[in-house]
Amino acid sequence: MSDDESAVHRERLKSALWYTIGKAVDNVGVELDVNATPQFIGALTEMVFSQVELVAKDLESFANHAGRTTVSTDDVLLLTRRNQALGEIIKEKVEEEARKRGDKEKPVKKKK
Amino acid sequence: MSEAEIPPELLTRMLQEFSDDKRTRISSAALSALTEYFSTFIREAIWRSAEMRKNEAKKGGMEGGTVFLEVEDLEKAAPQLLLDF
Repeated sequence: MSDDESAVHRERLKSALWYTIGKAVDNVGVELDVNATPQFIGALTEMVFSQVELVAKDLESFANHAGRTTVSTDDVLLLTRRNQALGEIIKEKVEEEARKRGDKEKPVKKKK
Repeated sequence: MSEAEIPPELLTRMLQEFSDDKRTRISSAALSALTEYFSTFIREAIWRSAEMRKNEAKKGGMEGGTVFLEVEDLEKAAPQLLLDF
Protein backbone atom coordinates (compact mmCIF):
# COMPACT_ATOMS: atom_id res chain seq x y z
CA MET A 1 0.00 0.00 0.00
CA SER A 2 1.28 3.44 -0.82
CA ASP A 3 1.54 5.98 1.97
CA ASP A 4 -1.63 7.73 0.81
CA GLU A 5 -3.64 4.51 0.69
CA SER A 6 -2.35 3.53 4.09
CA ALA A 7 -3.31 6.92 5.53
CA VAL A 8 -6.82 6.64 4.04
CA HIS A 9 -7.20 3.14 5.43
CA ARG A 10 -6.19 4.35 8.90
CA GLU A 11 -8.67 7.19 8.72
CA ARG A 12 -11.39 4.70 7.88
CA LEU A 13 -10.45 2.57 10.87
CA LYS A 14 -10.42 5.65 13.06
CA SER A 15 -13.91 6.63 11.85
CA ALA A 16 -15.21 3.19 12.69
CA LEU A 17 -13.58 3.49 16.11
CA TRP A 18 -15.14 6.94 16.59
CA TYR A 19 -18.58 5.39 16.28
CA THR A 20 -17.76 2.84 18.99
CA ILE A 21 -16.25 5.44 21.32
CA GLY A 22 -19.28 7.71 20.80
CA LYS A 23 -21.58 4.92 21.92
CA ALA A 24 -19.35 4.09 24.87
CA VAL A 25 -19.38 7.72 26.01
CA ASP A 26 -23.19 7.76 25.73
CA ASN A 27 -23.54 4.56 27.75
CA VAL A 28 -21.07 5.42 30.47
CA GLY A 29 -22.23 9.03 30.46
CA VAL A 30 -25.76 7.96 31.38
CA GLU A 31 -24.37 6.11 34.42
CA LEU A 32 -22.31 9.10 35.52
CA ASP A 33 -24.81 11.74 34.50
CA VAL A 34 -22.35 13.51 32.23
CA ASN A 35 -22.29 14.46 28.57
CA ALA A 36 -19.31 14.96 26.31
CA THR A 37 -18.45 17.32 23.49
CA PRO A 38 -17.65 15.85 20.06
CA GLN A 39 -14.11 17.12 20.65
CA PHE A 40 -13.84 14.94 23.74
CA ILE A 41 -14.98 11.92 21.73
CA GLY A 42 -12.49 12.77 18.99
CA ALA A 43 -9.66 13.12 21.47
CA LEU A 44 -10.55 9.84 23.17
CA THR A 45 -10.73 8.12 19.78
CA GLU A 46 -7.22 9.34 18.97
CA MET A 47 -6.00 8.15 22.34
CA VAL A 48 -7.50 4.69 21.97
CA PHE A 49 -6.17 4.43 18.40
CA SER A 50 -2.66 5.24 19.62
CA GLN A 51 -3.01 2.73 22.43
CA VAL A 52 -4.03 0.04 19.92
CA GLU A 53 -0.88 0.77 17.95
CA LEU A 54 1.29 0.51 21.04
CA VAL A 55 -0.41 -2.68 22.19
CA ALA A 56 -0.27 -4.28 18.72
CA LYS A 57 3.47 -3.83 18.54
CA ASP A 58 4.03 -5.05 22.09
CA LEU A 59 1.87 -8.15 21.54
CA GLU A 60 3.72 -8.97 18.36
CA SER A 61 7.05 -8.64 20.19
CA PHE A 62 5.89 -10.86 23.06
CA ALA A 63 4.62 -13.58 20.72
CA ASN A 64 7.78 -13.35 18.66
CA HIS A 65 9.90 -13.62 21.79
CA ALA A 66 8.10 -16.86 22.66
CA GLY A 67 8.70 -18.21 19.16
CA ARG A 68 5.09 -17.85 18.02
CA THR A 69 3.32 -15.94 15.26
CA THR A 70 -0.05 -16.15 17.03
CA VAL A 71 -0.70 -13.83 19.95
CA SER A 72 -1.97 -15.75 23.00
CA THR A 73 -3.70 -14.81 26.25
CA ASP A 74 -0.31 -14.97 27.97
CA ASP A 75 0.85 -12.14 25.74
CA VAL A 76 -2.21 -10.05 26.60
CA LEU A 77 -1.66 -10.71 30.32
CA LEU A 78 1.93 -9.58 29.93
CA LEU A 79 0.60 -6.18 28.80
CA THR A 80 -0.87 -5.71 32.27
CA ARG A 81 2.34 -6.47 34.17
CA ARG A 82 2.66 -2.93 35.52
CA ASN A 83 -0.83 -2.82 36.98
CA GLN A 84 -1.94 -5.65 39.24
CA ALA A 85 -5.58 -4.58 39.39
CA LEU A 86 -5.80 -4.51 35.61
CA GLY A 87 -4.05 -7.87 35.46
CA GLU A 88 -6.68 -9.37 37.70
CA ILE A 89 -9.53 -8.02 35.57
CA ILE A 90 -8.04 -9.53 32.43
CA LYS A 91 -7.12 -12.80 34.14
CA GLU A 92 -10.70 -13.17 35.33
CA LYS A 93 -11.98 -12.58 31.80
CA VAL A 94 -9.59 -15.21 30.42
CA GLU A 95 -10.75 -17.73 33.01
CA GLU A 96 -14.41 -16.94 32.39
CA GLU A 97 -14.01 -17.46 28.66
CA ALA A 98 -12.12 -20.71 29.25
CA ARG A 99 -14.98 -21.96 31.41
CA LYS A 100 -17.52 -21.09 28.70
CA ARG A 101 -15.48 -22.88 26.09
CA GLY A 102 -15.05 -25.84 28.43
CA ASP A 103 -18.81 -26.12 28.83
CA LYS A 104 -19.36 -26.12 25.07
CA GLU A 105 -16.93 -28.98 24.57
CA LYS A 106 -18.58 -31.29 27.11
CA PRO A 107 -20.46 -34.14 25.37
CA VAL A 108 -24.24 -33.85 25.56
CA LYS A 109 -25.57 -36.45 28.01
CA LYS A 110 -28.44 -38.58 26.85
CA LYS A 111 -31.61 -37.89 28.79
CA LYS A 112 -33.45 -40.93 30.08
CA MET B 1 -18.55 -4.66 29.91
CA SER B 2 -20.39 -4.60 26.64
CA GLU B 3 -21.22 -0.91 26.98
CA ALA B 4 -17.75 0.15 25.88
CA GLU B 5 -16.79 -2.80 23.71
CA ILE B 6 -14.81 -2.47 20.50
CA PRO B 7 -16.29 -4.92 17.93
CA PRO B 8 -13.88 -7.87 17.48
CA GLU B 9 -13.58 -7.43 13.71
CA LEU B 10 -12.62 -3.78 14.11
CA LEU B 11 -10.06 -4.56 16.79
CA THR B 12 -8.59 -7.32 14.63
CA ARG B 13 -8.33 -5.00 11.62
CA MET B 14 -6.62 -2.33 13.70
CA LEU B 15 -4.15 -4.84 15.12
CA GLN B 16 -3.33 -6.03 11.60
CA GLU B 17 -2.84 -2.44 10.47
CA PHE B 18 -0.20 -1.91 13.13
CA SER B 19 1.51 -5.28 12.93
CA ASP B 20 4.95 -5.23 11.38
CA ASP B 21 4.79 -8.92 10.47
CA LYS B 22 1.96 -9.97 8.18
CA ARG B 23 2.09 -13.51 9.55
CA THR B 24 1.02 -12.36 13.02
CA ARG B 25 -2.37 -13.69 14.14
CA ILE B 26 -4.29 -13.55 17.39
CA SER B 27 -6.15 -16.38 19.11
CA SER B 28 -9.85 -15.79 19.77
CA ALA B 29 -9.23 -16.13 23.51
CA ALA B 30 -6.54 -13.44 23.31
CA LEU B 31 -8.83 -11.20 21.24
CA SER B 32 -11.50 -11.57 23.88
CA ALA B 33 -9.03 -10.68 26.62
CA LEU B 34 -7.81 -7.70 24.62
CA THR B 35 -11.36 -6.48 24.09
CA GLU B 36 -11.75 -6.47 27.87
CA TYR B 37 -8.46 -4.55 28.16
CA PHE B 38 -9.78 -1.81 25.86
CA SER B 39 -13.25 -1.74 27.40
CA THR B 40 -11.53 -1.08 30.70
CA PHE B 41 -9.28 1.56 29.11
CA ILE B 42 -12.24 3.41 27.58
CA ARG B 43 -14.33 3.19 30.72
CA GLU B 44 -11.45 4.42 32.90
CA ALA B 45 -10.79 7.36 30.58
CA ILE B 46 -14.41 8.52 30.84
CA TRP B 47 -14.70 7.85 34.58
CA ARG B 48 -11.48 9.67 35.43
CA SER B 49 -12.33 12.66 33.25
CA ALA B 50 -15.78 12.89 34.84
CA GLU B 51 -14.36 12.47 38.34
CA MET B 52 -11.85 15.26 37.88
CA ARG B 53 -14.45 17.54 36.41
CA LYS B 54 -16.90 16.91 39.24
CA ASN B 55 -14.23 17.54 41.87
CA GLU B 56 -13.39 20.83 40.25
CA ALA B 57 -17.03 21.83 40.12
CA LYS B 58 -17.34 21.18 43.85
CA LYS B 59 -14.27 23.28 44.64
CA GLY B 60 -15.50 26.18 42.55
CA GLY B 61 -18.89 25.91 44.21
CA MET B 62 -20.53 25.44 40.82
CA GLU B 63 -22.44 22.22 41.24
CA GLY B 64 -25.56 21.38 39.29
CA GLY B 65 -26.21 21.99 35.64
CA THR B 66 -25.24 19.68 32.84
CA VAL B 67 -21.63 18.61 32.80
CA PHE B 68 -20.07 18.43 29.34
CA LEU B 69 -16.74 16.66 29.31
CA GLU B 70 -14.23 18.49 27.16
CA VAL B 71 -10.82 17.80 25.70
CA GLU B 72 -9.14 19.51 28.65
CA ASP B 73 -10.76 17.02 31.03
CA LEU B 74 -9.32 14.11 29.07
CA GLU B 75 -5.95 15.83 28.86
CA LYS B 76 -5.81 16.04 32.63
CA ALA B 77 -6.70 12.37 33.08
CA ALA B 78 -4.42 11.19 30.26
CA PRO B 79 -0.97 11.09 31.93
CA GLN B 80 -2.00 8.83 34.83
CA LEU B 81 -4.25 6.76 32.59
CA LEU B 82 -1.44 6.02 30.16
CA LEU B 83 0.89 5.12 33.02
CA ASP B 84 -1.69 2.70 34.39
CA PHE B 85 -2.15 0.84 31.11
